[in-house]
Amino acid sequence: MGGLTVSPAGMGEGDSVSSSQAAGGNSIGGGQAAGPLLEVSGVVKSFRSGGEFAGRGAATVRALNGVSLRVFAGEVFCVVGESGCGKSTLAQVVAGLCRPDAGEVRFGGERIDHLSEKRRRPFRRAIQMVFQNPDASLNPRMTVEQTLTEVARFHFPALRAGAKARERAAEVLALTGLSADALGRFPHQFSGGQRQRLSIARALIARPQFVIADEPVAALDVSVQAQILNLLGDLRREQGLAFLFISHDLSVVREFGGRVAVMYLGRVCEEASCAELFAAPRHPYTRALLAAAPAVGKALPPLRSPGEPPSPTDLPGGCYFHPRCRYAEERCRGVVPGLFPPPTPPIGDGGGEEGSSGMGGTISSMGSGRTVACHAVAEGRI
Amino acid sequence: MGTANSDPPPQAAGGIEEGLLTVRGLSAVFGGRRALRGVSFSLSAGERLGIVGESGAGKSLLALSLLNLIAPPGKIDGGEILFCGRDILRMPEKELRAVRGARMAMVFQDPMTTLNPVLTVEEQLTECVLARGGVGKKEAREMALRRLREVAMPAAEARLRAYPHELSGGMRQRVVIAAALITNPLLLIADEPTTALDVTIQAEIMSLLAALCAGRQMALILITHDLSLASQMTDRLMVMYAGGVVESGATADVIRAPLHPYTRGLLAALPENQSGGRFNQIPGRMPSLAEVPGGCAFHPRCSIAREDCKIRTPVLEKAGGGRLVACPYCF
Repeated sequence: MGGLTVSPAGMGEGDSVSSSQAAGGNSIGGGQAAGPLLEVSGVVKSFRSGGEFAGRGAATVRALNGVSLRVFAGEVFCVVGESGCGKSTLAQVVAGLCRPDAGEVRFGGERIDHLSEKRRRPFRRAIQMVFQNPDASLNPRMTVEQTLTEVARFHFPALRAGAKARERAAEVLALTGLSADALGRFPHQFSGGQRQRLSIARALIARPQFVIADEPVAALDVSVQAQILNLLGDLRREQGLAFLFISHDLSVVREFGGRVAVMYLGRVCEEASCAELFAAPRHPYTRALLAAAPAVGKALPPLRSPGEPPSPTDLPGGCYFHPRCRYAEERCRGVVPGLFPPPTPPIGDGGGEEGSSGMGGTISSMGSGRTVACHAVAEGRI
Repeated sequence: MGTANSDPPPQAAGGIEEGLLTVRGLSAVFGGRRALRGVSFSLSAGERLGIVGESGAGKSLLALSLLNLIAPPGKIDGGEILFCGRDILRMPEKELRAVRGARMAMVFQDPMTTLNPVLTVEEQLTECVLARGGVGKKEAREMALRRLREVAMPAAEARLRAYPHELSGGMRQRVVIAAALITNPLLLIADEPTTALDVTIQAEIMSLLAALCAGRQMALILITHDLSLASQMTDRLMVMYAGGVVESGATADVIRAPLHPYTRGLLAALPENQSGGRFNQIPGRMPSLAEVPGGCAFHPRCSIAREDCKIRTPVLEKAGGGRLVACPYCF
């Protein structure tokens, strides 16, 4: 990696706030931004299905099968994929809610996936999470004030005395577009959109550098969804927050911007800037995904059945997409394709890609470095 | 049983002049609160109608009303639902049962709430045919298999012995659709049929539904929150807000030139229509049944609301080109 790099924040216009500065004195990694803020390398994670009592009937669900990605300070990194692609497991691994079986997670250059609970604590503050369903992630018996000040007092000893935590709670509420009246109320007294604002406020009160948003608008109606997306966009610009934005909804990701990784059955199959990916998807799965997404003014896709994804308990060899892929050949069935820059840059200037130094699928997420894990693309067949 | 008899064309398809379904002034309350406010629309044979709106608009309640399936604390308290010329709301229970499932079928969002977890696919599919009598077990099995093939179920024959939990979400929804089709209904009501499914599977199911409707001259009511999906699937659109219809018309017209401020807001809020890096939001949210404001229910969120919108309840008025809109100020 080169010298000082403040990563491009995708398609965002005029990112005036310098990300390292906005992160404040609390930032992990010194804020020199020499390397990625978050670096996930070759993460593997499996679960036993059927619960603890399944005994011999239990199968192994292979949720993550070697995922690598890098997110820079102030950057938005989107992960898209359908159910079972491992995107939520990835979020949990990064947030430290579960430990990977193999691979590493680094934050600000420091390895964090194997830390003890005590040593993990500063990272728990710096990495905050917003979940899909605020009903499940907000305690229904705690007032907004209790929910927010608990977090503030836990992470900031200076806020433990007097009404300081309460003041701070009112501040973050204002940031999320809620008034201080909200403090005395319970989650059920708010609408779905407002509850999602509360979840965001709870994340913000910890003064994070990095926010993982796992399907933050999937449960919301479209008009309210727009409100929350605007709020997240503002926070990104004004607070210089880096985001790992996880969504199944291509239309949301497309407009949210930044970089995108498309996941399929626990592997990244394509990574590119949002603009590039949507302008010219390369991986056959990305193409299928884009073709299937409904849009106003777009015809229904032709009736043909490419079949359903295989079960994550019984994955095929080679490229996981090969049973559904019309470009699949012998090699695709036997050899796992690595993530590499495609040989022929699709459109515009493909020159100066710096990601090719990656080994074993780790490719820089800088600049326009698009990477695709597909034999057919690598061989120039598509 | 020979194949000649196996797939009879929808019996009444030829016999109905224009209105397969006519709903007039349908009103319902839920827990004592007004939930549907005088909904009227009609549907011809083979036509595909999309009912769109956000949660709380009353879409699902309307769907259940069409089958007279509202259970307490819900109650229909006005209007009529003419299906093939007969009022569903005033039908004897026996006749109603003949209509439900047989001539009007419904597909719900979550296939697991429709399918019985302890019955095999074959049992689920044949149950309804056998209950109606006149068909032997073997013949019913043949019918089930044919329907499974029609919905493009992979390895259909083997799936007859499967239980719902052994199937993926997409396959379960195929079974539900097969079950709905088994009696050759004239109208299929699909309430968010693909909301629980992945986008690639959704596309397959939707393409399948479109082909089935075309092939069978079956009318479709697609209830969805997804305006994009409705625009791809339907001939006509009806937009609902807080229990009432705010706009209806040919899908292409409504999408191209929405009239009602709510429809405009919904379309503008689609992520792809963001402008200047911001998503177009509609301020506020859909009111709950308890807090529907007086006058036009949308007025607190409306950018063109005037003083009398707070008092005067707008009615659906003709807006040219077969369109209806419930807003006097949106032209």
